[in-house]
Amino acid sequence: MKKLISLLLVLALAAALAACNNSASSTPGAASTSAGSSTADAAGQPSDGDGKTHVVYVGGKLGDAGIADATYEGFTRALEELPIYGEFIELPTDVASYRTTMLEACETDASLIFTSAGSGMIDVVIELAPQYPDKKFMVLDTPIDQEGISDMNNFYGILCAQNEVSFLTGYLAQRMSKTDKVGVVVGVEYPVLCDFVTGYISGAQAANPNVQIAVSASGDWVDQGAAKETALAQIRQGCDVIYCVGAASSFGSLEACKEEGVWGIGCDTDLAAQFIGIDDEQADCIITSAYKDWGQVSYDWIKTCLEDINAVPWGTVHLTGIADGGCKIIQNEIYDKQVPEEIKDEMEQLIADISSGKVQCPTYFDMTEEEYVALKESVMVK
Amino acid sequence: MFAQFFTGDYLIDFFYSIIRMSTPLIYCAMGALISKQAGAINMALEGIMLTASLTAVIFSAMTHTVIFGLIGAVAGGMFISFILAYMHLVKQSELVLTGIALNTMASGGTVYLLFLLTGEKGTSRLLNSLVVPKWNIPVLKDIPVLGQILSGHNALTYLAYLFALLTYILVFKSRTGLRIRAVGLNPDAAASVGINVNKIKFQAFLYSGLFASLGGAFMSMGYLSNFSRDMIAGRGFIGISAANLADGQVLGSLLASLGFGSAEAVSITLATLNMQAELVRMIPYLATVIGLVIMSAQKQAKARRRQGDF
Repeated sequence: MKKLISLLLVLALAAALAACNNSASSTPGAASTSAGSSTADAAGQPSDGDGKTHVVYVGGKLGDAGIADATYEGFTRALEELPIYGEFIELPTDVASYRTTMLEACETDASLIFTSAGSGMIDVVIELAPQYPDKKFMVLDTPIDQEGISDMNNFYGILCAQNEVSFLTGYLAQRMSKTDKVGVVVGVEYPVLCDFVTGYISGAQAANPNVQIAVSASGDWVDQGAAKETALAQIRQGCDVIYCVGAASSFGSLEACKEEGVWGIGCDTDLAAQFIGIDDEQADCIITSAYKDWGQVSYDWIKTCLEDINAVPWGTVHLTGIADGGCKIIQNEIYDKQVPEEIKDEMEQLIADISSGKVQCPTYFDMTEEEYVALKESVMVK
Repeated sequence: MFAQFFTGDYLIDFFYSIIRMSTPLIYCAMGALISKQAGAINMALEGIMLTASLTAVIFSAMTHTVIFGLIGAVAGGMFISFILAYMHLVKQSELVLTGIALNTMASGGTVYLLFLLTGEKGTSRLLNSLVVPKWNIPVLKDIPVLGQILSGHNALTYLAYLFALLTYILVFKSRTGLRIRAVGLNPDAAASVGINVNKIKFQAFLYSGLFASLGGAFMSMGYLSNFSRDMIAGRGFIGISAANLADGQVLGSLLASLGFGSAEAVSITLATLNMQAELVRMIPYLATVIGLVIMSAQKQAKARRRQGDF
């Protein structure tokens, strides 16, 4: 019996090792580097013998069909195409361990460290960055009004104009709605998510000032059951288009849309594409997704750092939006099939207007908390 | 502002959703009840349900048969339960700690297994798994209102009530149940009359795993149509509280599960009213704590009365 158990343990460990090899997150260079072999190149970045720069990406758990996956895709592309090497550090689910994980990343000889863990990570990076002046940090999803970074020369934040892309989805949602009631299910309502909601409400109001909008948070980013129930509750109230901003939990709310035969709108990545050929009924109800091009944004940042490290405006938060391609709505074959021509034309016009600045999308970051609550209450489903 | 909630259709859907949301809790509470009657808290129920929900998806995708999916779920869940029983009863490990360790193991292990099979860490959407069909109950479905609330649920929802009945027969009307309760009340006395305490406890753990596994299967084959990471999300613990709240009684556990299901439904309805989501999501857990306190107070009062009698 004992022998059998120890044999099983050995097998399990062997399997675990084999799986680690498959994860493909690190390049061969990573293993052979030691701190002593580091030299500095022209840009002042420490790098290994091959002249490659060491980049570390600290992100949330993969498989979220959201920011972690999208950024990872850009990072792997950068590993293949740019003269860099590095690894991906997957964060545990509890926020309490973010600091130790970031410290681990700081203790490597990486010169560029970036993270997609947004809200939970900003304070940690702001605290640690001054202690590692020879490293450069970038945080995706930093609020535009983040305090305490202006005098830091190794912190850079990037924010996607989720209010702009949500303005588009809000407009589309209201135009596709027959009941003039639309809903949005977010995971947790923190500032960046409030900005989603603000854009969505404004966009829907631009299509119809009398629209009613249900806004609810399902509570977290993984519980699909709760997200599904939340979406069902909104559908019960009469909403017939649901904007699902819940990372992995979105799959739950989208399933509610499928079962009840209402339209769903995805977020972060092209969620319809995930279902085409696997579950066409599900794919057909996802008319579009608010797409944030985190992969490209991260790739571009790494590239800029490699070309000229001083070209990055350190100590600021950069806002990328519809105009410069940081985000867009997905116009795939489902969109083509399900959205009437007339509405498509309106959407094209709106995209052009937002790009040119003719239409200004209100943002949560310009509002006080009271104004935001008032905005939500003014459109509440009655 | 509340007017919309008192229309007939809304209330019908609301009560329908309570029954749906209570289903996994009922299975789990039945599982927790059996181990409680044997004098052991099965803390691993959360992990058992999670493992079962993954194996349900894998087996149903592999065999294209719903029933094999359910068998797979039971196998997966009972495997975790077996480890718990083996570690605790044979290897003398601390029960609660082992349970917590198994929950953590299940949380990571299911994602790992999913990754090995599909190359994805989030959901099992690439596995073409099945769902348990919904049943329309003849006669009942034609009754207005009541039929709309009670008919058309997932088959596993109806089976949950059947399993509650089975639990009652098993624990209170069978020879095994008598032994389980004897072991739970006083292991030494049970041993003195020739009952193999460890064997009975082992059985109780396995039954406990079996019942909870079906709750896990419901999560990935009924409630939702695929497996996703950490999808049980605390329902296992709520099920354990339900059984504790009812002090191991079947009807009480059933009602407590329905109560927690209602609390969850209320919290989700309130969330659509622009209430603070964090506050509202607390309701089911708050209900648990309040329920446990009330029960404990009652028990103390009873004990005091009894002391007074002597």
